[in-house]
Amino acid sequence: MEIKDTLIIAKDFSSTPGARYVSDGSDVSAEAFLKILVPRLDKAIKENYILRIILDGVMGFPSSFVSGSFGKLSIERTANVLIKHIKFESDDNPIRKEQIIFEINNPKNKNA
Amino acid sequence: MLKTIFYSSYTVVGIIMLMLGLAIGFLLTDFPKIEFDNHLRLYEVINFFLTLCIAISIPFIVKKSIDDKRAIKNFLTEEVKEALKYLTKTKELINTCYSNGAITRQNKDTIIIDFDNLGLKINSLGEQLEISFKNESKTIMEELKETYLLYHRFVTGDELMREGYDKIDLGFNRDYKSHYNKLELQLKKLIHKFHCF
Repeated sequence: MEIKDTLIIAKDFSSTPGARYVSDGSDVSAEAFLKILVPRLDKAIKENYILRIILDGVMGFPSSFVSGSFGKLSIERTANVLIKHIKFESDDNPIRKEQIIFEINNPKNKNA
Repeated sequence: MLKTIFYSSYTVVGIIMLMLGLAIGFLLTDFPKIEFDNHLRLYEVINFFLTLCIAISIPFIVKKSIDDKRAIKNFLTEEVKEALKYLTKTKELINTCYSNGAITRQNKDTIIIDFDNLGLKINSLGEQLEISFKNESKTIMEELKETYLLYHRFVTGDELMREGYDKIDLGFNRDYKSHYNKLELQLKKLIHKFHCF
């Protein structure tokens, strides 16, 4: 499958991703990020291509953000679909990729 | 001084190799059984020098191999200690926040950055371990990364990241210690495992 779209979190969203919900007092929450991610992911699924997500340039990913975005999507769309249509990249810190894939494969139920 | 020389690994390995060389020499001389006739033969001269070469060269080869492995293990141990520094830094910050009865946005950002740095160290450790001990590294790193990710998930997972969460409560502090100790122990055990490779 071909990569047809690239989402750079630091540039397209924020370099300081934060809490899970907007109501947690964070305007850079996972909930806000989903508004950017979901339409692009749905397009990738519908047109059968890969969405590349660049994880570089951020200060780090709190688990609240990862769980509230990718974990939540994993429950809604299944882990297989996410792994099939998203390619994560990080030159700064490769363990960020593993952190997100771990969350996708082991989402916390409270996200549902 | 004499004790140092006698107990040095060079001397011990040298003596062992010299004795081994002599034993091989005697065996070769007696096989097949040859009558002693007071004449120096070519193969005896070759045999003598061969034994001498083995006795002199093997200690250096063996010693170099041992030294190289030891250097790699020491280097990996230092990498683990670096990872432990980031782990300890976060623990100290959380302890301070707990004692002070307040945690700020800046403290939370520091925790996120330190977790990222710790992850970077663990990843670097895994890549280096794979170069020298490929077979052993897979299971070790899978277990270590899982413990790290669960610890990360616990600390930065929910309540601590909320803007309104400005005081670390007793329950969080207790559960935090349990996760922390698990990762700390796993990292320390790694040092012991390195020396068993």
